[in-house]
Amino acid sequence: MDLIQIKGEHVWVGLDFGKLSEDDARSFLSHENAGAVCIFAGTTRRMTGEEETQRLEYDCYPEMALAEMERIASAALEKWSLHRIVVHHRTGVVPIAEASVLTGASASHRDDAFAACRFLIDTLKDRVPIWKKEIYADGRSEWVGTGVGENLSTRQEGQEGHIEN
Amino acid sequence: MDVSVKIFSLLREKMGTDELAVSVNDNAIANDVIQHLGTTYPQLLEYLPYARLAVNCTYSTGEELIDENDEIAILLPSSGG
Repeated sequence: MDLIQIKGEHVWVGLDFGKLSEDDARSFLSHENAGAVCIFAGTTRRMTGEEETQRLEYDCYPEMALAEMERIASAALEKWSLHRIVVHHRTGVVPIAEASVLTGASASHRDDAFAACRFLIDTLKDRVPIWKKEIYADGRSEWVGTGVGENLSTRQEGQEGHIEN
Repeated sequence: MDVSVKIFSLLREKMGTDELAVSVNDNAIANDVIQHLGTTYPQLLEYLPYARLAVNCTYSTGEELIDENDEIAILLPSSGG
């Protein structure tokens, strides 16, 4: 199982167990009336302050993650004038510099594409049941943003995105 | 009735399983499931204030009636991206 996905005419959401394909995302977003295609890639960062990350590992609730991605995409379609939307997340190990997430939108005009792309990633971080474990270079590891203790601050990064539940 | 609750990430590692069994009343609502999880598995108590319940792949309001055939999961705050 390399990919589980829901692919419609306007929306493509997926969970990938291997490398994400920016080319495939870009192809799906193509539309003859699109004057703007905006793709965000979230990638594994080596240094966070003084901390050195060796890799990230993701866990997810696959069925619900796909359902939430679809809900987020639907919310974006209602909010902006868009042609196509892509939301893909990788699960399992994601090495340094590789993408864990791609969000993308195509629109007639760039304001809609930029705003939707930003909304998709912010809302994904807030709502889609996927969890990140940091494996540090010195061998320590921790689940990020579990809500307990100091990790609480990590969670606040992703809270701009909001859809009514 | 007995319901089974899916767990992931940190909770799965802590508990060493990916599903927990909980007994609740037949007319239980979602919040009762959370409460019973804490009673049955005190190791979860420190996490439950931050957790959300999902019923059939949708975030719960806490007030829905639970059916034993529902797919239930307890989710810590997401940290994808």
